[in-house]
Amino acid sequence: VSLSSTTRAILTMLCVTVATGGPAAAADGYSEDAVKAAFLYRFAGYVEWPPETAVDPSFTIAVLCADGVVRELARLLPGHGIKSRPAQVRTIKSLRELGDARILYVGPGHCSELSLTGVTSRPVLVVTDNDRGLDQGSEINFLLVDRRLRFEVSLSAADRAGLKISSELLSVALRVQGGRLR
Amino acid sequence: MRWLNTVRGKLMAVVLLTTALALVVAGITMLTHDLSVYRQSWVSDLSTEASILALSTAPALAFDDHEVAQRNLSAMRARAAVLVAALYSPDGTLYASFVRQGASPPASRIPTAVLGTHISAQYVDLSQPVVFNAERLGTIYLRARYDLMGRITAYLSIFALVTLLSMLVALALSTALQKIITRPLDEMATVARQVVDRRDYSLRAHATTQDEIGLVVAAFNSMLDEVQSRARALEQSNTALTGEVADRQAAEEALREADRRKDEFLATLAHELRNPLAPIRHAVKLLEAPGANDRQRQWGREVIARQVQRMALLLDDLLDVSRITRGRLDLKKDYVELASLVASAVETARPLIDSKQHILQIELPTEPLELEVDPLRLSQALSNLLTNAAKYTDAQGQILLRVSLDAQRLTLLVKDSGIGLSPAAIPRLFEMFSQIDSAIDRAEGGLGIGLALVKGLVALHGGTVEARSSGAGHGSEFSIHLPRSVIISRRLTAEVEQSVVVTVAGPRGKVMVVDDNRDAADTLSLVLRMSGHEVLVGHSGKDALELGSREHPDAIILDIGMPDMTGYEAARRVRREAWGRQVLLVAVTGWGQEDDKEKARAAGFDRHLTKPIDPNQLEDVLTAFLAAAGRH
Repeated sequence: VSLSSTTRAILTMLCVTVATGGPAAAADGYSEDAVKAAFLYRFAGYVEWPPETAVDPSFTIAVLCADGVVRELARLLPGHGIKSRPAQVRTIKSLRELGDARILYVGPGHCSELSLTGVTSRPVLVVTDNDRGLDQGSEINFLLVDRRLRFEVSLSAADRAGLKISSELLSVALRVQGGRLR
Repeated sequence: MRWLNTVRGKLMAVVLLTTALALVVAGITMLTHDLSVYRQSWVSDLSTEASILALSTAPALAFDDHEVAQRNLSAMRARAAVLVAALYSPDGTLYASFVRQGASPPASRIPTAVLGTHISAQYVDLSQPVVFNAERLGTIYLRARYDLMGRITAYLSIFALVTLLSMLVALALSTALQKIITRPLDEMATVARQVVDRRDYSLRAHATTQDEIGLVVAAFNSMLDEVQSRARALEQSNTALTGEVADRQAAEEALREADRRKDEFLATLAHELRNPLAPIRHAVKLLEAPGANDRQRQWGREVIARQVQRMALLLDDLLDVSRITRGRLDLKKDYVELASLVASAVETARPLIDSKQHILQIELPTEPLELEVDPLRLSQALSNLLTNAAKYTDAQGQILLRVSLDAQRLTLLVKDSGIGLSPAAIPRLFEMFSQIDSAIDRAEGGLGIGLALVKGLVALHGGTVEARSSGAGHGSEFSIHLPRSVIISRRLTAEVEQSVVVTVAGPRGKVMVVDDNRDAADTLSLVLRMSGHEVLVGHSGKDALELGSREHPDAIILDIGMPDMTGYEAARRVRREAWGRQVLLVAVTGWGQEDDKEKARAAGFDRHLTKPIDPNQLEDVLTAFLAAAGRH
């Protein structure tokens, strides 16, 4: 029941996004942040983390510099699991607070200037949201194309982090960088 | 439908019908099965397709990538059967679609929320959810062409082709195979037709198989056997019936003939019985007449006696025939010398033979034959034949009586030079009342029962009678055949020399035969008696003297070697008697030397003969002597 309600919520979000487009969605309250939150949640389904990292019994998404997205995730995740574990969102102020989080979302704005060097070698899916995101060493970077949220993927970053990204995800990516398979 | 009237046609129809039926049933079953399989596999294929499509479009839906979704759906272009592929959002709005050219586009909203397969006549509609990570991302919808009619049409055309080929093969095969069945049937039918047409029941069909047809052929043949045997039996019974009818007709004819002859016989009998009455009446009138002298009265008495005698004989014959036909005549068998029997018969017939001046010639076996017969009846039979011969032969005719003996039988033959017999008359000659027509008018008359009587009497002795003639006017031959069993003589010899007795109508006298051998004496005396002489027999010299002095014979035939006195002595004594001076004395000796003849002449014999005596020679001697003595 809880799953279906989650799904319904996401679907509702998506539908609104698809039907009305980004700005309209934002104007209607289904903001860009909501779509981003949904994307973050879904990315987990197409990525495999190395097994030794699975120490934390919960699946944590850490968010840096994006309070809107945190809010949307906080509304989306409670009671729902990712990879058979309860999922949670955590707002962090610095990368040191990353902890056991599996996904790190680095919001646009001033945070995009942050060096990700200490994180990229760890098994954490880093999602950035700026024009140079992949160059910074993130695995996935959000882009806005024709007022629609798209993303690009760096396989070399994923390799470095020890993550495996499903080809299905790659098929819908706007651009894939450095992949051995592509 | 003429061909259905033949077994061949029916077999063909059965084969074709069976084949067609089997094919149709098989075809329908296979079509049903094929359609079911087709449908299942089609649905299964399509849902696999949808599942793959759902998998591939899941990320596009998840990350709202319309282009990718569109591209994924366009992959259906390669699947010719898929007409429409559409992706609907979870809220039911159309997200992306692929529409094949010519097909109608999908609804902008998903028509029913129901998932699964819907099959209509032309299409298969299939809806399947797109789920990822337990999250329903949307619905995939496929519409494919479901070409049921095309499938059926293709199937039916293949089926029609297979059926046609099967029929052709079945036709060819059955044509070849049915010969096995129809050939014996055809042959049987041909035979049956021939039997009916020709009525020839000897025809048979040849069974070539061991099956039911073979059985039928065998049964047909045995039926023909039956019919043939019945037809033959019918034919035989027809023949038998025809023969029977002919026999009955012959019997009827014979009865009619017998009736006619009986009528004739009655007429003849009346005539014969009446005939003597006229002379008797005349004689009685003469006897009653006052003016009749003794000579006339004497004549009258003789006439009456003769006619009465004639009637008595007639009645005796009638009674005898009647007894024979009723089986009431018993033979009184006795031992009798053949010659004696013959002599007795000749004696009975002699008056008629003499009165017509016939010459009778008698031929007997030289050796005496003793028979066991009824002397009276056999003699009667023989004398009947002789009387007949005399009766039906014109005056001064010739009659031969010949007795001969062969290995089987004793034959008494009477042959004459008389009026003869027509061949047609011979077969019925010995039947009752069968007097020859041409003979009826003859003076002798008669009842026509003489020969029937002869036949009956001979039959009683186990013998047969036979008549022969070269035709009318050529004389007749009558034979009495007796089995050899009637001969009991001890001195039977296979070959019997014939002695000949010639009886001429010459002078008759009283002749004495003296011989101590009784057989020899008897034989000689019989021969002489048959010649019409009165014969005395003696067996010794003493007999000769005693009989001679009492009977005064005309001639004495003396055997020389006798126990009491020699023939010479006897002759001398006879010559001394008064009655013996004129007697003809004939000596008989077993040797004929000149010396013996001289001694005989000296003793007073007139002639000397040697044994065996030739009857002709003796007869010549007697005739010459009697004629010289003026005897008649």
